[in-house]
Amino acid sequence: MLRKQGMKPSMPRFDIIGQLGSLRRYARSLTRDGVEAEDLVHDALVRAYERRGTFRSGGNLRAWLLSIVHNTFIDRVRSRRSEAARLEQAGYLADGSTSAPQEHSVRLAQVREAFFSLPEEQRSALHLVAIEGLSYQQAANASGVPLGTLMSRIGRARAALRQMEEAPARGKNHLRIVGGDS
Amino acid sequence: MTALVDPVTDADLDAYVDDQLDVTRRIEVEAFLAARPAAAARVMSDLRTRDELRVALAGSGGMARPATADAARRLERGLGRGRIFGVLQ
Repeated sequence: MLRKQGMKPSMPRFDIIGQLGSLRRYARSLTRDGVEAEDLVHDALVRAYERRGTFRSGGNLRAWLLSIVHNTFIDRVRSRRSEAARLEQAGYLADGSTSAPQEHSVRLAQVREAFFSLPEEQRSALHLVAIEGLSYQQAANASGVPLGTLMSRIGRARAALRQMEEAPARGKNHLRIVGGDS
Repeated sequence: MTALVDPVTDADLDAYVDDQLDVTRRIEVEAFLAARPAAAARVMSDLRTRDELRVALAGSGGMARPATADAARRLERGLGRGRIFGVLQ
């Protein structure tokens, strides 16, 4: 008696397009590079399609997708460890080139740079919670670590950002290089 | 007034900033902070940094490619179909 139900408009709607902004933001925080981030999101969506059976009805779609982005990222890093150094470099250059002129933007660029200089696991944890608003438990699940590990990563990330606050731009002087013309 | 509540830890302050506490615990943390200007300043600074990060990371960088949206739509359809198979099984 359920037979004919299949094609009807009662089909549940899964708004993946609406999640792309979140996924791209997270991918950028992980890769620190726009092109790389877009590749990552694309690959994660392909993988999500292959594993669509693992999404449970009533589950949190965004958390599920973010965890796939995370896993895809980890696999990419593993399979291309030799390229990690190159990515690091690219990320750093991209950061420096985005500093904007206004004072407010300068501050934002500093915060951003400090964030991008955090270790990957701390960046990931802080991003999932502070930017995407996941609960600690959801973020722990998305990154495949115990709750306590996730929380200590958040704590260490915050401590590092505070450090930056207290000792502004120390050691970041490579951005202040003045041309040799005078 | 020092009631016998759980001591407020650094982890509680982080959880406060991340809005992870239930309202009862929030109130305890707020009472704690109201009496401790240094800790309160730290929390305000963390909140500021959090908000600045949200702004700083808001853009997706303009690197969007059509293939990504295609993959997203394929997943939307796939998930929709998957649910129906689930019902029929």
